[in-house]
Amino acid sequence: MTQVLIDGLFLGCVYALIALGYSMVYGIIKLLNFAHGDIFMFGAMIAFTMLTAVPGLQSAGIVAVFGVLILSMFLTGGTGVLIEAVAYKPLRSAPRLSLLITAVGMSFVLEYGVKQFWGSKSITWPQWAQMGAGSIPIFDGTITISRLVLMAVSIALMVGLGFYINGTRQGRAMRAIALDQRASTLMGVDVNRTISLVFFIGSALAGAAGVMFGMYYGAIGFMMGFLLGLKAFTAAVIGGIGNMYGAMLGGLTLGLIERTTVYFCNGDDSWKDVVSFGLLILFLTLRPTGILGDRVVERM
Amino acid sequence: MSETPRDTLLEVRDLVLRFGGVVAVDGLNMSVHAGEIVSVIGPNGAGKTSAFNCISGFYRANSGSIRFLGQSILRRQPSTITKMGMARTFQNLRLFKEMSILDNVKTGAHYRMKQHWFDALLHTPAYGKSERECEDDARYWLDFVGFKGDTSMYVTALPYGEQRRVEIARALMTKPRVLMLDEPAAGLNHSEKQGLIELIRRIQALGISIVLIEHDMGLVMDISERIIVLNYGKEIADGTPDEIRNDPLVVEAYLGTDEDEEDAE
Repeated sequence: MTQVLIDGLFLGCVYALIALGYSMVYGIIKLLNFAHGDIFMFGAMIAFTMLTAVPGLQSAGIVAVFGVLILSMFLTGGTGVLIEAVAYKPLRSAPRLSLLITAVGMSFVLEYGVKQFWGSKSITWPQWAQMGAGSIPIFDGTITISRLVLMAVSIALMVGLGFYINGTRQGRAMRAIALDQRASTLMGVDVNRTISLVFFIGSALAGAAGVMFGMYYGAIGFMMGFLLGLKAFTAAVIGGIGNMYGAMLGGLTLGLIERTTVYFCNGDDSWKDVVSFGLLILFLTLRPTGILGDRVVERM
Repeated sequence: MSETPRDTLLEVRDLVLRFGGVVAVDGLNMSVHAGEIVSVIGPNGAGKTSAFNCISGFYRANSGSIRFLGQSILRRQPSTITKMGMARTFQNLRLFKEMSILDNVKTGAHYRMKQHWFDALLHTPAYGKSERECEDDARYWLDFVGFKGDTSMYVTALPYGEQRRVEIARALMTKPRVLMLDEPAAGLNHSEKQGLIELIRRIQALGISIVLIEHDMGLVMDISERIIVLNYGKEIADGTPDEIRNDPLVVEAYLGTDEDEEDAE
């Protein structure tokens, strides 16, 4: 059972990182960015290319992997900003539905664009960058060091983000825009720049999740963002969409629930998606505001 | 009071704003001089708030010119206009509801704070300094508007009158040259109104010009140095409180015809 908990928390961290971007974007421009899951996939792809294309990287080991992680975050962040600028910004005052459809379109552009460059076959992550060595026993389960490191990284990212949103000038501006866009412009906040920044941060976090996913599972593919994106969306809804802590809580909750389901199905993982999306429907009908929804919490 | 040779900060000329077939502002002319208190009055629907919205950059005027500190601001973003030194409050409060009182006021310093994300994430001394200065500033202005209490509460926990004060503190935080107040006395009781009058005078004493939209005639007559009267999107009078009181056009706009109801909140 401890193992279930460990696995669940790890998966939950990946969900939470993606869900944060979903939630932040929803919080600030009320858009369900369906291309977000594909940014996650794109992050994994460019990290893979960097890891394999640069000769001699292998000798640098874990340092190289971290370098690639950081670089991928910047690249996916930039991609997010670019997508916002070409696809969403021109529709700022258009009906929500147009924006949503554009996001779905953007998702396809990313998926099939990546397919053109990286192919449609499943890609195997370089063995040396998988970080599978060594494990630590915790009660009756074990956790590999690689997982522990990745969890620590994702937790550090989340804590950093929480601090950034709550304690800095740009963070206040983001919260302000989420609450009242007009009034924030009167405070001298440049709305377009702040929205770009939100896309940058959200996409960078998704990129980080993509790299972690590749490192851990060892295989990536051009369609993997679709399901993961929907899961992250589910996590965001469970926690309370638009709410940063909700995304973290929802991600961890969903991860735990999925692994528990697999555990009770004796290792058969075919029911986990049924349970996850069943939960999404339940939340949307019974508690659309999510777990943290009607507590007065800071939106973002 | 055009005989005082004070600098003109804000000058609106022949401003026209249409919504489809409705002309909300119809060739408005008005100016605001340094350090004065000007009131803009007029029956409901006279175009007062629309004019404010044009000046602060929310509405794009169809024609005319708006010059602020010598520059045209007709096509500028609201955030740019704020940076140039224009602040405003809203008829219906627009505080950031799910943010603390302190954070609300701190947003006002957004454009003048220098903070690098790198510093912020690493908690460098430069970051600490900028946040501390911002907080000191915010507390200064909260104190200035007479707010006493716990600044970590959500603004919505405050009574209405206090929220008005916080909104003014937030506007002052942007370091304005001109402060536009849209019906600041609406919903205030008698003693709160007295407090507001006193506050407006203290803001003026800082050298900030104040433009006031207000329905409370007692308050308007009490503090205004100059009053501009709008009707149907045009200015129909511009003068001292005494001149306005006796202006036949104004009397007619307010009392004259059956369709214009006097609105005294």
